[in-house]
Amino acid sequence: VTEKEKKETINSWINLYTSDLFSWALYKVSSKETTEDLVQDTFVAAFSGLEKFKNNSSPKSWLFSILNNKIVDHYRKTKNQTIHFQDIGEQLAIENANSFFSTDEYWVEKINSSTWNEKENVLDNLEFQKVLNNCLEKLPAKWKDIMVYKFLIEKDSKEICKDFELTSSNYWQIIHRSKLLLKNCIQKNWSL
Amino acid sequence: MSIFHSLFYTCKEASLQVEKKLDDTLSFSQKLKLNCHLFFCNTCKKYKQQSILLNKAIAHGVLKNKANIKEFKEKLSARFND
Repeated sequence: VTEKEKKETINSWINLYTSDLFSWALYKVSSKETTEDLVQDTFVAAFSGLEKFKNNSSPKSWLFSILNNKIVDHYRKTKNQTIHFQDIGEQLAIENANSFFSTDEYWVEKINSSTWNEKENVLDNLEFQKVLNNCLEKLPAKWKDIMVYKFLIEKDSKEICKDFELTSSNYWQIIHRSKLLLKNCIQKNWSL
Repeated sequence: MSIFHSLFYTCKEASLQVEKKLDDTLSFSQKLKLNCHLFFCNTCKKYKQQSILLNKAIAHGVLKNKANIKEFKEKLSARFND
């Protein structure tokens, strides 16, 4: 592979994937400057390690795995995350989600009345998006990450499991529980 | 109980299967079993409708928040062009 071909590959990837990489990094680190550095470092690393890229994985997945390592490094350098507290949050959230079901696994509360899914135009309703965002904020950090990742990256579940080091059943439980908590939160905070 | 259980999902199982179905990862027999549950269970049917809407709403919000990065892209490209 010549230098010129390498540059062409990287440039086409910049065109295709910068937007997704940028959004994800910005969501994770919240600072525009840091985000730009991380995404740039990702492409620099991809350029110099291009030989290691195997065509059987998608370029997008490969770039995201590089970026995720950079994000982890960034956090390692700047602060020690308090994982301890997140674990307590997750345990509470699990209990919360389980509380929607009785011990024989049926709904504690049945829905008979109409609910927010029948209201029109919620997608473009700013108030609804605000409520949804607040509700997303209340999820355990890891769950929120996974939900955002799932919709931002549009990867299949197998790849997401790999990126977050989750088993498939673990992943589906997180999606299920997150949805239960989100629905409940929207129900409480959204009314037309 | 075990025969009943092998034929029918509980609501907890059914709503979890709904999530997998929205991702298209259910087998034919699982789909059949799920549809059977949804036919009789209004609350799970509602769960499914709300879940579809939530997926749309989250994707909508996430995409809308995508930063305008045209300038940054050009800066990146320039780096690899000289």
